[in-house]
Amino acid sequence: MIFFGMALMLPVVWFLPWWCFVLFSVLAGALSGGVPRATWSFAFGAALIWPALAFIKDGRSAGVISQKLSALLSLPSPGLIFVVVFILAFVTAFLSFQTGATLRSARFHQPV
Amino acid sequence: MRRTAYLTIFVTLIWILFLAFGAGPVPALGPLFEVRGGIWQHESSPLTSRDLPGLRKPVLVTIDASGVPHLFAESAGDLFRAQGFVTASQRLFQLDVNTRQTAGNLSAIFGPKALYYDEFFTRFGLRKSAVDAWTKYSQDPSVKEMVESYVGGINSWIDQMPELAPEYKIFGVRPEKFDPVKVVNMGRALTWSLSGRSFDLQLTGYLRRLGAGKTLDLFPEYLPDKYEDYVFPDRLGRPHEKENAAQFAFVSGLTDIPKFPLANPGRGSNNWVVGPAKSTTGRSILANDTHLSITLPSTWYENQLSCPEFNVYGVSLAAIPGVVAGFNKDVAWGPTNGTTDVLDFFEVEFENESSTRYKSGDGWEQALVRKEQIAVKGSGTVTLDIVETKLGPVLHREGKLGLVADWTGYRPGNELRAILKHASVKTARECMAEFSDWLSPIQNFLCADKDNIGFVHAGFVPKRASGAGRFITDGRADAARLTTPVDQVPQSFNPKAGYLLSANQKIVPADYPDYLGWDYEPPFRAMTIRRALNGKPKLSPEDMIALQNENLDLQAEMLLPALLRHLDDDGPWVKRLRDWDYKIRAAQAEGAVFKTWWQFVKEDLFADELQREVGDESKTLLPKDARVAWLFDRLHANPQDTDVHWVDNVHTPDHKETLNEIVTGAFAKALRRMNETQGQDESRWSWKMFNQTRFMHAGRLPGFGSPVLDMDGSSETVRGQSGGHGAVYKAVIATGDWPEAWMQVPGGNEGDPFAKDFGRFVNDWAAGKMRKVEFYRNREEALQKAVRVIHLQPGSGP
Repeated sequence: MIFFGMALMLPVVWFLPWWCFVLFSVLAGALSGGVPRATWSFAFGAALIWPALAFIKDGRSAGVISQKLSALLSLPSPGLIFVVVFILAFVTAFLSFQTGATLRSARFHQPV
Repeated sequence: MRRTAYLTIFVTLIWILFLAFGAGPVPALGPLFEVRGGIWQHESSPLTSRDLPGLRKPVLVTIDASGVPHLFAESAGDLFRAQGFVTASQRLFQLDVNTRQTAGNLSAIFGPKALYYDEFFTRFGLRKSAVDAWTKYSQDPSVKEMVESYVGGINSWIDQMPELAPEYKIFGVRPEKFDPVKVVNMGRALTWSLSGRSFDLQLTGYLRRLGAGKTLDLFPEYLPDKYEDYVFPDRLGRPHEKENAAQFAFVSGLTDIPKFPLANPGRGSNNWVVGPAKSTTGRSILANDTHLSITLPSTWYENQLSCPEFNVYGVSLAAIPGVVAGFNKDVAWGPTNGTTDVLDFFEVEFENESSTRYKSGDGWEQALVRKEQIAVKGSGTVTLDIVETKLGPVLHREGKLGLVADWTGYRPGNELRAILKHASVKTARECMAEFSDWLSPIQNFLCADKDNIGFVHAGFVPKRASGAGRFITDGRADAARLTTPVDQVPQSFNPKAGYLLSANQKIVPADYPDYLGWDYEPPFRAMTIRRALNGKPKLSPEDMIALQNENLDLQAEMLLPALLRHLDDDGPWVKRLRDWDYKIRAAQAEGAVFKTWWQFVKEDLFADELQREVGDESKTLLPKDARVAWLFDRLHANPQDTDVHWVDNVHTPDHKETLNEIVTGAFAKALRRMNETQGQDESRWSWKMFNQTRFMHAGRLPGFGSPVLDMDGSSETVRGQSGGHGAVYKAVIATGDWPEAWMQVPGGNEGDPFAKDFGRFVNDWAAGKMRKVEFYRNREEALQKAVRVIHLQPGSGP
């Protein structure tokens, strides 16, 4: 599931607006069925992609962006900005995936 | 189970809303951190050859090795359109913030924390004054074309920019389109920051507590000549009425005036010029350094503007077309802040506590009431009722009494026309004459051509009734408004001395026929420059650059011996101060100890009478340094001089303090303060850590400015440097058949905080280095030396 999360989110994060990350996580959650371990794995994989791609783009500006953003947020080291992005992405993927799974569960448990 | 499901969905929704819109000071993190178009997406040097709508003919832009653009157009209109486009490509966020300040429109970007300023500027009437100014400016077709073309260029950049500047992404806002009033707003912003200072409110408090006699004694209009330096030293022999207590019988009943964000122009601007007889080149040489808040990007934008009508090089204000200070083939010019008193306050009386009818002469007059709105990011709109009397807008009310401001900045002249015309002046005389329509901000402009030098105190200097202008004045009489100019503004042309100088010091000696003001900057920088100019028969451009870097502190030279005379202490610091050469060096601590000591001496001498809270410089003011120097000299000459009563602390009736006690006690306090602020290890104390020279980001974003710099000089040295204020533009211009110039604009032209050139030249500037500028005769020469070439073509856009 980690690799699924990474593979799914690679093009999403690179080419699409941020809210597509939410949308695709919800869809992944709905398709997965909400196995708890799957949620953690997917969120971890998806969340790795966001800071990794941010890191690549930051490299194009020789690290100036991460350096200034870290200063802006009073972080002690420029690298920590990627940890912040990872945490944001992880929480987002986790909650969105869970929501997808919950919606699916609600759909299949509706009384006929 | 169902409850958990609802809770999951609810929390997710809240989280997504938080990512999308942010909360409180936290921006919208989703779009901010987006990889595709968020903060990580960054194009450096986005300006490339392209179509620029509105151009009539192609415009050539070459960028030199210092990042300075040189613009060549076939008409002035095309030139200013290209200038707006090129400037916006590097400085759009700064243009936006600058023009919002006086429009009372900062809250739309920064949220409720900026509302205090927006409310004040809106009440003060700056927004309205910009509209009035454009009405006047636009009557001149050439000015109208200049501004509208420039605005068109900015808007074309807003339409074409490949991505938002990083600051917009961080604040989560988008730029608004520009209009001519925004350009005028920038002019108002500068006018306010340079001539929006007044101590009338504090002095009125002293007048109430101490009476006119003591207040005028501490805050006189003039001191003996030994303690003054004048921009315009000629003696006219027609003194205006000397200040006396009888003039100030009226004392305002307003006692609870809130703290207004009045301007603090800082101190430090210098300009001087030597004529041919005093120049090693045989031609005039002009030096100029303008001091403002040191920000990144810089206040100034350096460029060359060339079209058939003119070819000019210098610095522009981001958001204003043309060149404000610089040179063309024939003439160089540059300003310092004039500092003359152009802001007055009046007390008006309303019919009753809720009325908007106010007393005017023998009757009552209805004030104009209008509504103004302020958009606040995330909080909707705030509506203000603005009450305006004939004397000016009402800033504050206490029952039936109101406080009204009158400021010459409300009255538009034709400053933009002067900027436009200076580009093509051919003589120093013409240069001075073009300031005839310049009303505000009031400036000391020097002009130089090859053979002549001139000075003009450019601006509207109001003629005031006797005694007006120093305290809150009685506005019931309806006679005092700042509408009539003085008979003649001070100016000088080819003086016998062979040079002219200004350093924000007093403009005219006491025998000038009109009151101009009392609150000028201390004379120390001017005295240092005068000493240097008198000390050499001829000066070279290198001498001028060296003088700009002079870090001799004449305040210390004048005052420290007097302090040491009264010091009952023989510790190691006393020896260090005795051996000090009065030069302010970043790594040394003598300057820091002296300045701290001097501040405590002034507080301990006067805080009792002035009821000043020690250490609180924001609320009240202390006497000028030169006045206190005079006190020391008087008491040295005669210990029983009348000034001795200032030495005694009124709160200790059983004890009569001596000057030695005050000075010695202040010295101990100063060393303690240094200990607290710089640590117990005295070997680590430094001027650098005391003065804290650092560049702030124009949007005040933490981490986007500079670290504390190794920087020599204080606010009293020619190399004026005081914390967040400094020489944001330095120039030495040698006139000649083809002028040569050296400049430094700390920060360079790049306004993109993620670009490699952001903050360029800051370290060179701190080290006192200057840069020879490239002033091209024509586009062929520019093309030969260009590191980048941009062709702007007429068209409808990309």
